[in-house]
Amino acid sequence: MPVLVAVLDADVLVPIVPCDFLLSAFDLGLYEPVVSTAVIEEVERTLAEDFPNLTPEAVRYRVEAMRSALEDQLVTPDPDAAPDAVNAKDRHVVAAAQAGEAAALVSNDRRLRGQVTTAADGIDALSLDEFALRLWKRSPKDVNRVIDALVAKRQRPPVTRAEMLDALAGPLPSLIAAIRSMRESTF
Amino acid sequence: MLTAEERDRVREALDRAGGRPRVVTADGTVLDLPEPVAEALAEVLEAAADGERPLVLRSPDDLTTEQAADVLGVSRPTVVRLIDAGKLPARMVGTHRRVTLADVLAYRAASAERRHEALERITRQAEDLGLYD
Repeated sequence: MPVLVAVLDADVLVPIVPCDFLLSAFDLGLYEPVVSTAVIEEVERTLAEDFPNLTPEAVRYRVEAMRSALEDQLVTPDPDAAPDAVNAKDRHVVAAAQAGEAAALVSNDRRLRGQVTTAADGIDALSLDEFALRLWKRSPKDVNRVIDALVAKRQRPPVTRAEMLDALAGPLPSLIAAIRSMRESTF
Repeated sequence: MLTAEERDRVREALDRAGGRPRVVTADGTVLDLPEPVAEALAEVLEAAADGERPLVLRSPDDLTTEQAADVLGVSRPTVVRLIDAGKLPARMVGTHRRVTLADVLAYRAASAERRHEALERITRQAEDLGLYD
């Protein structure tokens, strides 16, 4: 199966558990992410806004670790290459998809997805949930490995698989419904 | 790609061979394969049964960027980017870039280690700061 290359928008890397899911799915080879420096900077800004209790040092620590995990996935896009129909502030995301030859753009921004669907040929605009479901359809076994890896990583306190599925059910409802329905039909 | 039915057939063949495939000739003679060959063949069958594309590399030297991408599980443009950034050594053969399997495997191991270490830091910090609560 050819590797699925997907550009990630900042809004899918900010929420904590979905970010873990995306990074672990990359680590286990389910897809190949592409990000731009501008996206990483936006993640840093948004983390500071969404988590006001975090110190600037804590935000920087998290973002530096993300940057390290994604170091070789960084592309330098030319925003001018993005279609004119795309909103100016989001052009760098579409340009990153073009620079990385990504087949998918993952964003929870409905307006951006609409613009990409209309104006950017060859790039599938997907919400995070749709993207996760696509990974599942490509390989349920591999997505289960991701869930197992997420459970195994958590130590303080440990979490069960059921608790992990509950935590992912909010941001990834279609994926978790598919996982649960398969387990129910299996047992 | 194999169909689901073909994958099942491969899985059955692998199961019936007990994970140690052998060759049966047209006249029914069973030929045992040397251990490394049997293991490699079992790997190929296992990958096919899982719906993956088995990759057989005969020469440890001179991979194309496409082959390097297959080994790394990334796209070819990413391999080209790694070469251009000096992260994956390459040499030119005519107008084509070539890399060695040893360099590709060394890069794969180093990048996996860096990634694991980064993901570990992210999880530990999130736990310490109560970000999962």
